[in-house]
Amino acid sequence: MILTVGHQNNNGAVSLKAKTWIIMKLTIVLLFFFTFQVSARSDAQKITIVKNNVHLAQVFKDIERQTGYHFFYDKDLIQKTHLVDIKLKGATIEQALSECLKGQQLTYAIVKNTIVIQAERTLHSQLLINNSTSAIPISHDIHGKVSDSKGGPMAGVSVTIKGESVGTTTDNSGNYSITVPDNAILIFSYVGFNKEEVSVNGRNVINISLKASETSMDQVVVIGYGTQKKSEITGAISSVKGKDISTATSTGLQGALQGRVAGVIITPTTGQPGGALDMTIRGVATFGNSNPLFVIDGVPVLTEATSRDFNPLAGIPLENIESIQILKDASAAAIYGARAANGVVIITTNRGDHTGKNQIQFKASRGVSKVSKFIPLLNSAQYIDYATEAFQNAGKPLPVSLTDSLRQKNLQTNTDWQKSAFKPATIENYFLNIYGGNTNANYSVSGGYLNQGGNLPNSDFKRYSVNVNSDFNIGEKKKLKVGETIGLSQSIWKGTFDPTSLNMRQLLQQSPTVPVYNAADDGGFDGPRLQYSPVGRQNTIGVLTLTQQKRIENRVLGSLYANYDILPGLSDRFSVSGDLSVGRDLNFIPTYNMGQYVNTLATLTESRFDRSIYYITNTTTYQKTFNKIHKITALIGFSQQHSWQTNTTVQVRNFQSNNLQTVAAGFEQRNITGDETGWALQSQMARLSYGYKDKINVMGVVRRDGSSRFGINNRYGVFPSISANWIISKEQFMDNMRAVSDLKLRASYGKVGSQDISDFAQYATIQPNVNYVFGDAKVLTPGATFVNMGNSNLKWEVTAQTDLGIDLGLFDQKLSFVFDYYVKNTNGILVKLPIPTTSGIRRTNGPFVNAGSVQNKGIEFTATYQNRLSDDINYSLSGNISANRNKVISLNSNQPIIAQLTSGTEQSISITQQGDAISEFYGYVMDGIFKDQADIDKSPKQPGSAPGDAKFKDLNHDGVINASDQTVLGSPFPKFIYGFNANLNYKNFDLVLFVTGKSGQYLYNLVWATLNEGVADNNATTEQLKRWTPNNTNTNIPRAVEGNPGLNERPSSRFVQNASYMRVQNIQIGYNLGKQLSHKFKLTNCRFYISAQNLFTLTKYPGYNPEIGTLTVGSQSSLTRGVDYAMVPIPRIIEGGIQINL
Amino acid sequence: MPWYQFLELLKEEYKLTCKFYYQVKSQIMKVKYFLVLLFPVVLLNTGCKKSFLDVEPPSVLTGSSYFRNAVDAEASITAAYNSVRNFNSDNYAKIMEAPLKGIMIFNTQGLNFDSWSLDPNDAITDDVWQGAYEGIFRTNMVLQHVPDINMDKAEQTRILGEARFLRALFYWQLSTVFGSVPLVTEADPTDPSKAILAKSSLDDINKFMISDLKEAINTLPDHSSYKSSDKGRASKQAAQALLGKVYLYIKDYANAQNYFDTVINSNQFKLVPNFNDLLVTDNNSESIFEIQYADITGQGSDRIENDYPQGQGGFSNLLPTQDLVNEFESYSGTTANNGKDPRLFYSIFQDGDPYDNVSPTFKKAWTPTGFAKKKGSYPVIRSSNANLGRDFPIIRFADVLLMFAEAANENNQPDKAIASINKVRERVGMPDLPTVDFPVRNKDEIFNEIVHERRVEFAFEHIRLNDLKRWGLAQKVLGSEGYVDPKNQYFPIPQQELNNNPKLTQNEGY
Repeated sequence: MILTVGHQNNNGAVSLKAKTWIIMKLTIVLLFFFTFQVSARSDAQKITIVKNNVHLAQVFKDIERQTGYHFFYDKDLIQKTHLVDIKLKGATIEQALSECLKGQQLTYAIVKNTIVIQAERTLHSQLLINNSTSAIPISHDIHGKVSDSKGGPMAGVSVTIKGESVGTTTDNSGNYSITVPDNAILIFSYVGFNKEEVSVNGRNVINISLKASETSMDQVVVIGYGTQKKSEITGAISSVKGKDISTATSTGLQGALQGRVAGVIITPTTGQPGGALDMTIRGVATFGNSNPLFVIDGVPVLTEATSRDFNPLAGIPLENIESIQILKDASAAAIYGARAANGVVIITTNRGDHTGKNQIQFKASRGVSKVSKFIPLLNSAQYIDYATEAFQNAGKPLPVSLTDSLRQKNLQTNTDWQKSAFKPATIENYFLNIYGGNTNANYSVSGGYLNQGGNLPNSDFKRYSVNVNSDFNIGEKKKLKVGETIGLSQSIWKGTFDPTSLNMRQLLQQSPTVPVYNAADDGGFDGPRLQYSPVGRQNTIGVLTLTQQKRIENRVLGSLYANYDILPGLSDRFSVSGDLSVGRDLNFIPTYNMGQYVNTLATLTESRFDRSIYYITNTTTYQKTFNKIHKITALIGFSQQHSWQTNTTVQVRNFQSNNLQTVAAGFEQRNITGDETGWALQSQMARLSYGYKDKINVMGVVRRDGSSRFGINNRYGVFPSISANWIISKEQFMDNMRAVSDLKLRASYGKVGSQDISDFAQYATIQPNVNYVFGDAKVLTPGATFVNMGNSNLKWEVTAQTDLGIDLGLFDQKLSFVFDYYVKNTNGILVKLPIPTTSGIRRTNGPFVNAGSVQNKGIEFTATYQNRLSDDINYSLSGNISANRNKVISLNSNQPIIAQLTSGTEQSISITQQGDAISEFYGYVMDGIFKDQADIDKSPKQPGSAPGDAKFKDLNHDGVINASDQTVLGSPFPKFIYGFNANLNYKNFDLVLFVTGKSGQYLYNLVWATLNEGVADNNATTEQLKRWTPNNTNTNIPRAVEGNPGLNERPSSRFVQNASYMRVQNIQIGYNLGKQLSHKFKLTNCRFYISAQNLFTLTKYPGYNPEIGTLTVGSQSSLTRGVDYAMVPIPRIIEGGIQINL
Repeated sequence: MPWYQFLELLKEEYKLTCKFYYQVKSQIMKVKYFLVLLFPVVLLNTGCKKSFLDVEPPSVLTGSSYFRNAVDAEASITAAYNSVRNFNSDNYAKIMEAPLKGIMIFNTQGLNFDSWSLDPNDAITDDVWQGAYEGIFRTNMVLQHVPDINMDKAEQTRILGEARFLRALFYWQLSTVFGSVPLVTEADPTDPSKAILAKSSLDDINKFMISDLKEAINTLPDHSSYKSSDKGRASKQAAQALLGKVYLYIKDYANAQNYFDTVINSNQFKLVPNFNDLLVTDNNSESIFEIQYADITGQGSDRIENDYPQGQGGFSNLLPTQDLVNEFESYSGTTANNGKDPRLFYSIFQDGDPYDNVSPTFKKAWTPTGFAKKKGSYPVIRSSNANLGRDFPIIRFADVLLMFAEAANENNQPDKAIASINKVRERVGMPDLPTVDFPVRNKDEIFNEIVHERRVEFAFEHIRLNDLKRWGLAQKVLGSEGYVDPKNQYFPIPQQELNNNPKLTQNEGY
């Protein structure tokens, strides 16, 4: 929306010290549009209106809409008029006006594009002043120029005084002049542009630029290697504005998008600050990484995380994002060919504008995050009872901690491990942006600082960022344009850990009889001991507090470009970009003594890594409109990309002090290892768009990619697509359907690819360092062998997608709908299948293969309603809902893929097989509890079972429970997902409510499985209070028994839990200081807000968070979705902030 | 039309054509800039001879560039030795020791072995399975490729012999845990489908091991001929000892006795005088083949550490119980310790035993059973980095002596048997047989003594479970622990393996 008013120095240079401050009513938001001036329709424009008994104001609106003329009148005057019957067909403007004003004692004048309506007696032809409603003295004249965002003059813009029915319009050069009271506010308005309010504040000259309104079909959308008018878009593209997400500082880029876009599923993998998120667009179409490609200001960035601890996009401040486009279908994404199979997310950052003014924007917020959900666990008395029973049931002697005096003593300790671990943490965020420019150059400089505390000890995330960009138009004719974007950031993660690691589970498993602290011990922590409990888990709080784990990443993301207009319509753009990260991982384990866990040697492991991508691209675009009917845009381009990363790790141990945590301070060098890897991609692309009368658009794209990851024979992939739209609302026959302001049909078909395999997947590589020692001197002897398999015949994974869409806008776009249906077929899915290990290669190190095909089909629906009830109240409501069905069509091996979890003995609980969705849960079906021995005798044979043990179903009816009684137990994919967003503005207040949810999804609750194993080695959930005992047989919770001879905890339906949920993701209340008050402080705008994130969640799921995506990375990461390892809970965050514009 | 008019027309036509040509030409001239801008594209496309897309692994060799010379041959056999250590990891220890009566496991991982509730999905069993086939693959690679390498013949022969010995060792360990398993004799790192094989009979596996070991015996150097720097490599005697063991397990006592006899008469081994040195002094005089460990990252042993008591630097993985303590004979001779066979003192920490300078004496409250494993763990090393550098025996001389005794007894040569047992007893000062407890008057009594002797001599050396199973005593001894014949004769084949190999079948009872 807007902003900018100010003086421009005569020489066009931008002055840092603007002379005047002008207060504006609207909240200033940085949005960036290439705007096109809408020229007024010619006088030949025909008007068709057939309406009975309507108010004149309504008729004027209709005429405005059909002609582009703007009406200008005194409201009171029109209020007094009588209703009219209008019957116009193909009338001229003059005919229409005479018809309307018949018998109304009104007359009109057409000034440029403005129709001025006045009482017959008061009309003046040029300048209109009506003092009858105002006693305010006229104090001085104001003049100025109105331009569009590109600096072009805007003729016919109406300029009025707020609260008065007085005004004028601009002339052909965009100039106006008007006489106003001293404290007046001027309103500038023009069809298709945002209204601007500017307070005069004693000035004589007010220049302003208007921005095209967002609802306009002329809105420009960033697509790959270019932009398109919204009306020309033929594919499925969703847009999110930076301002809508900029307060979600703590959730990261992907988290901010959660629930906002139909068809996009985002799930956090951890509640730790700066943690990674899992994002899928239109379903999971592959077995490995299903995250989309991220393109920031045209640079495809490094997002291939090596683990799930870190969000590779965490270095990018949300405040710096202007807009995000999500390319969902193949036609939109095809220009990114090889890497677009999972969709593409295009991020555009803020740039300066051409207003000739310098502007400053400052944002600050502080908040508190707090874990609000806990898993109900047994207290000491309950645990001691439970553990005793487990030993007794197993016929084993009681450990000392459960007997006599120690038992009594342990009853006194009652540690709540969760409450001791999770503490409230603070978040602070500051962002400053200075930007501006004129028609020759523009710039934007911003700096940000985020310090986000974690709820676990010693875990926080800090980010320092600086972003600079500018554009220069060179030469008199401005044919050459050059510019750059440079983003520098330092991100520091502390204490993050892999979400599949044991840390969280051990925290929950620890016995409440174990104290957290013991000042006497080295490190100050206590831990499991025989006298406390039979539980031998690490003291997670101690480990996290004492272990110093840190990742520091310094990143430079930048690009330089030159754009040259060779001939009218023909231009060439060349750019060089780079994404460079340098950093280190530190892990210092001090000496400590935590119960039975004792560390006598401090160890420091330090990794230094650098990762770089360079990217060169050249595109040539030709655009021409023939006979004002046929518009052709053609693009050919070339790009190449090279990525390289290296890593060196050293380990030293034995430190003089736990406080000397550097490599230099270690007495003993232990180990040095390294790693180096990379890939290259070379691509050619072409795009041809054809538009007919702005009604029908057709676009064809083809891209050819070559990747170093494939063998020489299958190196290249060709990815074509075709798409079209038909804007029905612009057809003549729609003229009578005035309610329909926009109706567009879209259809597309295309193919995109994936190269998501390890860098050297084509080779069976020889692994060095498979060493051994020989001789009395134990000399390290180098060994080397194959440890993984290669496949030189790999081909590209190809996703073919068909998309049908309808865009419908009603009542001047007050109500709009977007509907899409798609079918996505992925063939030749690249995956490392589990292999028979008789091959001599570990199961997970098999070759990549093109393993099969998967289909995703679904529907997406978005509805938006926006309305303005009065000048004081306006609101918008929008909702989206989408459903996706995922189905494995074929697997080449004809064998189901039973994927292995990364840890734990319950290794395989996910199956991927033909006919089902990817990664469905797999295991036994629990069928109640064995009531007594008779029940066991008459049931199918289940070795080791006794009364009180879980009974499983004999699915193949062979009389024995074994591996072949396992079956599919549920799907981790939601049946549908939805989001609802409400915005309300009342006077100076604004309110945002954002609700999101997923329905019909299941999770495998591995936490529940470990906490309800029935063994004394873990603490248990309060569910165990209902466990089977000889006196409590009417239950479905199995007995407690040490050693678990009946394998009660085996993967089964018992732990597959419904995880549907609805969450109030964000509520935000803002207050705008108001013009007068802001003015006092010499501010353009000032807004305060309070926001709450993750306020509450409605769900039956008993774990921390009912959403778990994939927690692993790599080739099989999508094959074990939805397994809850006990993620770090997502906290509730309350933040307060201020946004100031100078 | 007159001819000159026609000529005029042609002229006009020509002019027009020329005009058009010049128009087009001028357009092309303008487009020159465009060509300049396209230059980088051309440059990038045709930069150098090697394609931009030819990116090769910077730090590892690929398959085609391996097995070129002696260095590669040595590296490939070293990798096979690495597998021996991998295979004999903490996981193998849990499988072999935790199910025994007399030893309990006190770590959450592997608790199920304690009660014989064996689950095909168990990660520990799976790791043991994968480790063995990894080793077999590495030896197969050596045997396939090293013969083609142009290198020193003696070295080449030795490497091939080592590979055969190691392959037999892997099969022996694998088949004692899982029973009949697929017999993989070729390695192909490019095609996993070649490994989809059905089980071979135990008979075939035994024949295969025997042939490998015989070949190894023919090609490997004598134990004593290895230089100091080659200690730890498989020798002719190691192959003979293992072959004898294979024969013993298939009850071919004649061959077994013969090969053990050969090892004994090679005069290259003698019992270590101090029992405590056995698993502490590396490559000692008694060692026939042992796994090499060193205090170097990646070369250390974590299992010694794992077995230390909790709170004393360990995890109490394997804890001896009273049942094992009771097995040691009461004895009051000069070497006796608290009136017991001194091997008890060297094998098990008991209340009041010296510990280390941090905790001077062992306290029974440290572990749930009141005891802890001491063999190989004393003197105590407190390390938290899993880098203990103490070797672990696969076959040692005492084992050969007792196996010789067993074979001789079965071959009805009681004197030879008793004499051989006595050598083992004499080392720790235990009185010669017969004694009151062990009168050894007949074959059965001698056998019973061997059962006892092996239990106390080889406690914690992963020998007893295999012994009980081959003697047919498992049901009798381990029944109270949950062992069921014939199901528990073998561990379940890992479910993951069954999932990926349709030709494979689960062991009976699982």
